[in-house]
Amino acid sequence: MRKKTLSFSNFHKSLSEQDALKVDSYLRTYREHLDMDAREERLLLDDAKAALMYLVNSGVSLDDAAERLSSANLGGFYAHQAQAWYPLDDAAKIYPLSMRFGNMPMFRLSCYLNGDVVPEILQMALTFTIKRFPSFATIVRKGVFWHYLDSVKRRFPVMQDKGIPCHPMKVSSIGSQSFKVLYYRNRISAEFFHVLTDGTGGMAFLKALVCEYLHLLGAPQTFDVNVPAPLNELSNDFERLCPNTKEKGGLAGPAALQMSGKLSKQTPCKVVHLVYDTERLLKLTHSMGVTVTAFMLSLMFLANRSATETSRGKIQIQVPVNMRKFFPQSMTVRNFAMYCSIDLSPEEVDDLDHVAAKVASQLGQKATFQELSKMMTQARKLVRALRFVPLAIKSPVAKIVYGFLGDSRFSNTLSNLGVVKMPEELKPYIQGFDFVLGTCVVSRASCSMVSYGNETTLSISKITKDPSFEERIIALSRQLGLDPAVKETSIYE
Amino acid sequence: MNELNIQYPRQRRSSLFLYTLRRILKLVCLMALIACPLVNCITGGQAWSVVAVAGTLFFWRTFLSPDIIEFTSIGQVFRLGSFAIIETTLIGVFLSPGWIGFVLPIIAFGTILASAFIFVLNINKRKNNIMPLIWEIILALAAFLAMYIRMPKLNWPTITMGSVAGAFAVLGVAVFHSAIRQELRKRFHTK
Repeated sequence: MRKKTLSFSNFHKSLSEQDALKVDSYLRTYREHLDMDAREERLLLDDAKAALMYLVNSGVSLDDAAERLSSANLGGFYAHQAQAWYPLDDAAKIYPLSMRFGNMPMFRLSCYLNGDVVPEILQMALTFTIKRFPSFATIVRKGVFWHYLDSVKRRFPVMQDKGIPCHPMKVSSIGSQSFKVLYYRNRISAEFFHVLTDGTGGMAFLKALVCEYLHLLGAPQTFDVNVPAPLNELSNDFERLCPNTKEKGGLAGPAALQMSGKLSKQTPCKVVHLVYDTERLLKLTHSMGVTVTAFMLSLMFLANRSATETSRGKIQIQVPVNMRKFFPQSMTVRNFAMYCSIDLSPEEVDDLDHVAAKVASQLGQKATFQELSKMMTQARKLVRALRFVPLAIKSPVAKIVYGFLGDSRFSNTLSNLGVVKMPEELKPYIQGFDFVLGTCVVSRASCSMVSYGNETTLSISKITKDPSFEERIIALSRQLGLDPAVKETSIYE
Repeated sequence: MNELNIQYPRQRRSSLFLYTLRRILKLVCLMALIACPLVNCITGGQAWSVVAVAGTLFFWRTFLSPDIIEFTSIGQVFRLGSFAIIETTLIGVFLSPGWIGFVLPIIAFGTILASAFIFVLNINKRKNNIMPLIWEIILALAAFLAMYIRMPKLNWPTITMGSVAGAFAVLGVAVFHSAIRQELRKRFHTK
């Protein structure tokens, strides 16, 4: 901190008298937009000074730098008191009820740029962007009947990526946050506690952050962070759009067959990325007559089969389905996904074509509006039935029930976020995206997928050191001529 | 193909000391939870195992399975105060009767004063975390009224407990009425 202040004072001294006055005026106006604890205000001011210094030192005129970092971008966010609060959406309600120490549902979205990330500018981009996503500037709290999100007014710091992706974060203290923005070399990552949002909402945030970051560095403005969030972006669309179907749908199935590897103490203990050429992948899946999701699921079934020594139970893969595709009017950035389970007995998992046909047929039957709306209605009814049961009773019961019904119902998960689209003007700056799903309690591998440009990245996060699952997927992909590039973390232990 | 440049920082080997310690302590606690009542039953005498079991459960809840959500200082003072009251009551009932009517109110108003002190250290930040203090005041007032109805001649700790809780209730409603209303609306929501 002392070093930063000194270098800014040197920078200030090096300016002409007129420029020094401009900087003073900029900082004065900036300060007027802050009404927080003295420490938080000082940190926010230091961020502005560091970013201003970076831009001017990299050749941007002082006027232009002050314009880009204008205090108007702060709006009233850092001057208003934290008053907003949000009840959890129906999907998020189970997360705080069922999570245990050292295990929380998380996911990470990353954007890879064509140059190294400038932390000073990323910090300013986050400071400006967060007000556009007020439901993210929150912390989970306990109510008498349900948890809720309570807004937090603080500086949200960007941090250098040092630890394990999707490692549980601390959300228990008064001012803590439920998401993290991290940077490492050319990567900007946003990690979310699932209670805040799902992959689609998280991606909306990451895209806005990247657009603002690149804009501050001189790229054209493609996203206006100063336009307030529409109210329906914050709504619980399970409640608002629930179809209330009369048919009954189940929320839980029988226990699934699990991979055999020993569970690791660190979660996740390894993350593997397989980067596919989208064009080649599409050509292959079209020739097989299945979707990319069905194809990947088929590879996962085959890999699962070779990663287990038991044959009791079915291999069941959980596939989250974005409900926004059935409800185009939904604009929510909160959770709005249901899931379907694709299952095959180990005997049915023989050759790829055979498995792919079965998976595609099950996906066609289960990932439909009718099936998912049954489940959605069932979940809504359950939430309504439990609304007057105190949390002190619900929480231990949910922990026990989730222990029986939770992720032991699934062998794996595959979440496909689909194709990420970025504004044409920003394409020269962006290399790609990846999406890492946090791990479960017993399901040894969680898979997630995202496409950008001509690259499709399958990420596998694991809670076992046993490499047979990913090795089989890689081997099968190579046999099919896909030859994915393999990138992985070291083993965390 | 313009390959994605995915790289991760090198990891330090993480220490599993706390993980292992927590597992060992859990095992010790489980053994204590089974052994204490057994030994007490076999050896007979006073029901000291009830106090031991309550203490073990508190240790478990505080150190081995702490709150993952809302682990706040006021909340912890509330928990510590509640535990002290429960444990004192158990000692009073099972081991050494006759003095809890004097000690319990002291613990109760001590807890309220400690929570209020933490609250005023950073009022702006803790305004959204006033609920444990509200519970403490409500419980203290309820206890005071119950004791007053049962035996109108009260000892000084009970009078102090009632006065402290009453004073904080009046002060709280006068100064923080909107924060309290907002807090209650959030905490009791059923959506």
